[in-house]
Amino acid sequence: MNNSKNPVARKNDLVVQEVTDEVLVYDLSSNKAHCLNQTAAMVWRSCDGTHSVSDIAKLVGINTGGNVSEDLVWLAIDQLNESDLLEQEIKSTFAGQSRREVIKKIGLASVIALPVIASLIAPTNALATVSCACVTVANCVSQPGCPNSSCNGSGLCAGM
Amino acid sequence: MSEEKLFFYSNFDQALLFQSYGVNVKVDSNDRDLLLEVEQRVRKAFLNRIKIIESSNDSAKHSFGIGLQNGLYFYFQDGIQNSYSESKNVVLNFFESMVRVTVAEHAVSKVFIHAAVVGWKGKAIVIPGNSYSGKSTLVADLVRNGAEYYSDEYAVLDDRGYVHAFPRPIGIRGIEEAELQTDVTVGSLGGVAGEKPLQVGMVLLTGYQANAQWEPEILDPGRGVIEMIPHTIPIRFNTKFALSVLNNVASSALVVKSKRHDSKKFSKILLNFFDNRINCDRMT
Repeated sequence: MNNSKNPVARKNDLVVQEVTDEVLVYDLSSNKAHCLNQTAAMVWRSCDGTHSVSDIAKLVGINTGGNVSEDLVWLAIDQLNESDLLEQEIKSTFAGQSRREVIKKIGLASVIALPVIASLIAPTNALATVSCACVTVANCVSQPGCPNSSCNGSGLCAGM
Repeated sequence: MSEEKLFFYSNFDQALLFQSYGVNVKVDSNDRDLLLEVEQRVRKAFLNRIKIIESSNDSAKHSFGIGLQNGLYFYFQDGIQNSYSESKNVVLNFFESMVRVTVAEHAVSKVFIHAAVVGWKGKAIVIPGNSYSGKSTLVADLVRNGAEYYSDEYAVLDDRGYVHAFPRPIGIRGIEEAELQTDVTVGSLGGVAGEKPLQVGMVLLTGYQANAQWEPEILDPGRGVIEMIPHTIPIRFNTKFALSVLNNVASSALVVKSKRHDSKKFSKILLNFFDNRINCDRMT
């Protein structure tokens, strides 16, 4: 049964792509792409609302053949929160320790890789990749990466 | 905007409807000769890979308009007047750029990545990069060193992650003036254009930096995909298909990241690196 205190992975507006040893999640609502390493992906997949953090630590431990601490799961949940990949934000309980201290503590004791989520925002639109042609300088401003001081006589965005 | 700088959409009385890479596009105009020039530009933009649609039953989701009034050329996109200029070339150049990116974003069964591509010993080397990142200059030097030319603008990928040739003339900046591109044919560089779709052997994420050292970092497939996303034109429009294709590429190709220096020397270093890695893979 779902417990409101248990983490639940978000499902709506996400495109999930399995990549060797990693999972890519593209958030259609924010146009952010996230790459979850194996540990982060395992935790995320276990967030079905029926498992507590303690349960998830056991599940990940069974899957990886080692002891997994709750701190490691919290570390993953902390990043899943930040990446907006949970239905509801779950407050992490690092008991006054900073994330860096927790990483240091878990890192020394953990037999599995620490959870890591790398993220980036996709370009605002396809114009991010056009060839800096312009009629007015406004066309240059809307094309990230192009010089945008002026639109020169040849119809190309130009710098100072 | 003064009255003479306003052009009413209802003035358009003729149109060109075409399809390229499965995308229907309509271009309206009020001038027959201008529309003929538009057609030439469209053929150039898509290397003649277009089909003119004669039937009035076909519609287009993407529309442009190029109008002529009182010596001014007006540019419309999706029904909205975007800009105008006294220079026909400026407006047509802008149109060409926009129509190309529109088709690239909505292409059916293909994923366009903003990248330069060459073929080398049966595999493709894909170099994603934005405008002004030196892709064309690097491609020209790779071709001078014997690589087959595939594209200096788009890697056109199919669902398997194979790259198809898009061999438009290589646009090298700075020959005549700093920002201006001069089109150079692959033949004038002593090279040839590839035709056969190729599996991607290497994706190179690089940028020019004076005195940079070649320090290749091999990325795992996940990070490789993440790094390719900003260059992937349909990533927002066709996310699922685009990610699946990027995954096919990153799973079978080497994804390498490093700064680079001068393209003349670097092109040789790159091809040697690729050869060594391929030989290494064969041995293991």
